[in-house]
Amino acid sequence: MSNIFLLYKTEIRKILAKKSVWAAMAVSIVLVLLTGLANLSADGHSAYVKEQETRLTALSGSPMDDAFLESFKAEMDQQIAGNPAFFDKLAAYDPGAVYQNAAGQIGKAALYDFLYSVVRDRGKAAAVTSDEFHAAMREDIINDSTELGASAEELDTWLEIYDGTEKPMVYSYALAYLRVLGILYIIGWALILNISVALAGIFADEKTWRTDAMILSSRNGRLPVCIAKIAAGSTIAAAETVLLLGLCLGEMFFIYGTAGWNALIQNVIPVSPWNITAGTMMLIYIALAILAGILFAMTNTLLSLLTESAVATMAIHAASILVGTFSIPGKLGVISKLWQLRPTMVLYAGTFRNTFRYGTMNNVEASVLLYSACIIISAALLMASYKKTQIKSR
Amino acid sequence: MELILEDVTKQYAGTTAVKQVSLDLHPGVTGLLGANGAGKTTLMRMICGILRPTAGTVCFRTENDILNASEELYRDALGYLPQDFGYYPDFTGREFLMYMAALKGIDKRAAKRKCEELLQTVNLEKAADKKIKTYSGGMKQRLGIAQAVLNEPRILILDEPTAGLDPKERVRFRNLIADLGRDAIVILSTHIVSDVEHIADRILMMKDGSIVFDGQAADIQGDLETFYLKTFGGEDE
Repeated sequence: MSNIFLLYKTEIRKILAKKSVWAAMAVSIVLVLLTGLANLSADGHSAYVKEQETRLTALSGSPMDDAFLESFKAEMDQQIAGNPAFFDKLAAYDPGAVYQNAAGQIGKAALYDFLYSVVRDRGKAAAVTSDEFHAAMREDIINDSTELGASAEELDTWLEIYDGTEKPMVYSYALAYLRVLGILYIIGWALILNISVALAGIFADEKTWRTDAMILSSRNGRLPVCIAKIAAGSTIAAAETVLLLGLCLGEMFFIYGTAGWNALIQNVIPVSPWNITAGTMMLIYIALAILAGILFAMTNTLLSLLTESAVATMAIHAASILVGTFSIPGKLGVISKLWQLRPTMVLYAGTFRNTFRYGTMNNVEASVLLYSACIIISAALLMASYKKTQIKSR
Repeated sequence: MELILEDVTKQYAGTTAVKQVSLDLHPGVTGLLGANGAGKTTLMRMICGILRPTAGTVCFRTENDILNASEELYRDALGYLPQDFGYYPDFTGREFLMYMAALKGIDKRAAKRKCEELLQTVNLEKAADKKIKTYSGGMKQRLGIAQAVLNEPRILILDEPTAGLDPKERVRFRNLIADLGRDAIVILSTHIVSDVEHIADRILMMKDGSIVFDGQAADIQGDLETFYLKTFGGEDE
């Protein structure tokens, strides 16, 4: 057992000894942090963001009924009335921007943006009633689902879940989570890059370093080494996932505050039919991303063994990930449905918009099952292939 | 104990690298001589179980058991120094040996003791904590020899082990091999006759994938170098 642990530690050491791994990680960290800062510059300067956080956190917990919406409109109207010269000029130039600008001036831009994201009409976003708002939200879920190609039964199942959420919906300021979702695809690409750089050579490098013969001829050189490599690769993938997601969450919490953990998911993804909190959503994303990361690690490791070339492994992996960026139209039925479970889906923050059902499972449960099965199959293939590995002529 | 090779053959596309080699090897040093491309390395790799013969078998008969080259227990009895000894450039000599000990299934405490002992034997104790990438060719080769004997193997396969060693190191190495050959089956593959001249109990000569001479060193009349050149028709490296 102590031998296996030493083999595992050594495999991690071999991976971390590569400068390319640290360089890729540094680039990823910078990329994630800069994307976060780019969000901040879009939302305004940090003092404004803090002021908005204070104002909107004060509104958190209020039901989004007519009184809530009217009060918001009244505040904006008051702001507009207080500065007629500016708003008259703005109205002449871009009438739709008046309320948007007023919301920004009273430090509630995020609330306006949230309403707009549901009703998608700049004027209406300021004057929507509670019934209209909730109807638009429900309509969005139906449209999104139809576009994806979900069946009527699947949609009904999800609408039943959605209808079970509290109405009027309770408002919560949860901007940090929304911004994290916006960065998720950057994290995803960074992760794929890092995992590929770290693991493309996990078997291939032994050939390059000419250590394969010694390893394969030693007592623990077959199955134990394979297990150690699989475990090391999975550890690196999981650690990188946690690091990048943790870094992003930390940065977003620092900028936008930590409020919103207990907010209903619709505060972050209005088109989601799920009945969970933003915090639960984030935990599920982290868990799914770790699982997807381990799956990427396993496929990388398998390719490294089969191709005996780090470059070929990276190329094949990159190509397969690129294929994962394509979407399949909903009209293709079961293919489209299965395509929604591809690991890259986690990176596009699309998980909680998916309204398919997979037997009795939702897409998260189906993804967990599918990724776990693929990980186990990849591990079994790896072990079976490595057991038979021979040294080819050099 | 004996190492038995029965009609071992290795074919690659269009060529036969090793042709029906049958041998019974017993404890002692066996020198395997042959020019480059004679099939020595292919044969060594098949003995180590890292290259599957196209035909024939390699097995190790102990007092109680017969082990096939693909079995874990066979590998447990094996020590191997490949011709192109590889290493991890950022590991220190000590770390590398500890890793090799883990690969060979030696428990941590015994591994530490054995590593210290071998670092001293191969005269690397002062460089033990330096990264291997800073080692000279000879130092790397000595480290390779140390890893091969870490598990006190009963079958020791050394493929061109003296490459990169200076004359003083060669003498030291020959003494070490002669010691190991008392209890283990040592196969020393080389194209340098002087490597095996004084320590090999048995000499094998390989040409075009076949064993063309198998005899005791003492049976050879005159010096081995001349005999070798005669056997190979004057061909050189």
